[in-house]
Amino acid sequence: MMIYPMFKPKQITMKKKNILLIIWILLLVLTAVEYTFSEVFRYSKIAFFGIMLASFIKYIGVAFQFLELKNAHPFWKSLSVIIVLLFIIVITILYV
Amino acid sequence: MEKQMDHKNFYYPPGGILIWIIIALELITFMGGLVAFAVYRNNNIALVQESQHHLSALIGTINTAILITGGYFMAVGIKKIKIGHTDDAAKMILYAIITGLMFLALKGYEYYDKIIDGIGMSTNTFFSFYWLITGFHFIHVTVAILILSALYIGIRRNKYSKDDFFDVETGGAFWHLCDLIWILVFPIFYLL
Repeated sequence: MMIYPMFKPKQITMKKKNILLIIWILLLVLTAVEYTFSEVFRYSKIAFFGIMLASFIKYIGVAFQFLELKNAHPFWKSLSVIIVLLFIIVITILYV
Repeated sequence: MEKQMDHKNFYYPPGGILIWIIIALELITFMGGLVAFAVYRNNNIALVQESQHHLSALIGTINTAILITGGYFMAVGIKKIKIGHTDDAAKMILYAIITGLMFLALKGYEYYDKIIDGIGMSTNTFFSFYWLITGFHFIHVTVAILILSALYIGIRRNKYSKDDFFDVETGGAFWHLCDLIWILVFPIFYLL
C-alpha cells in the first residue's frame, strides 16, 4: 500500500485548524444566544434552560476541543462531564 | 509532523496530570462558590434581581467573547508549536495575552464603575459573592497572562520546539481553565 507521509500531516493539521475555527465561531454564537435569551426572556424558565444548555455546550466545546480533552483518558473526560452535570443539576434545582 | 503524546494514558492528559488535578480542584471550588450563591439567591430572589441591575450583561458578554477568542488563539498556538511552526505559535500566544489584557481592562472598568457607584463587598451579600468570585477569577486570568508571557519569551528564545512543548501545553491548560470557570460564572451573575 502506498503511503504519502509528506501530505498526511498537513491534511491533519488543516482539519484540526478548521475544527478549532468552527468551535470558536460556535462558542461566540452561543454567547450571543445566551445574551439574547437573557434580554428577551428575562428571569423566565425558557431563558434559564436556554442559557444553561448553551453554557453546557460551551463548556464541552472548550474542554474537549481547545483543551484537547477528546484525546485524554476516559477518566478525565468522565470527570469533567460529571462535575459540570452535577453543577447544572444543583443549579437547576435551586433556580427552577 | 505533529509530535503525538499518548494522552490516552491516565497519567498523561493534555498538559500533564498535575495541571488536571489543579483544574478539577479549581472547578470544584468555583462551582462550590456558585452553588453557595445560588442557595443565597433562592432565599433572596428580589434582592438578587435588584442587585443584578447594577451589572451590565453586555459587558459580561463582550468579556466572554474576548476570553473565548483568547482560548482559540491558545489552542491554535499549541497546534502550531506541535508542528514546528514556533513563530506562528509565539504570535498566537501573544494574541492570547492581548485578549487576556483586554479582559482585565474591561473587568477593571466594570470594577471601577461599581466603586464609583459606592458598590463594594459590604453593600450586600450578592456583591460579596460577586466581588469574591469574579475577583478570584480576575487573579487567575492575571496569573495566566504571566504564565503565557513566560511561554512567549521561552518560545522566542528557542526554549520550546515541536520536540519540547510540554510546558506550553500545561500553560495552555491553565489558560483554558480560566475560560471554563468564566463560562460558568458569567451566566450565574449576569444572565440568570
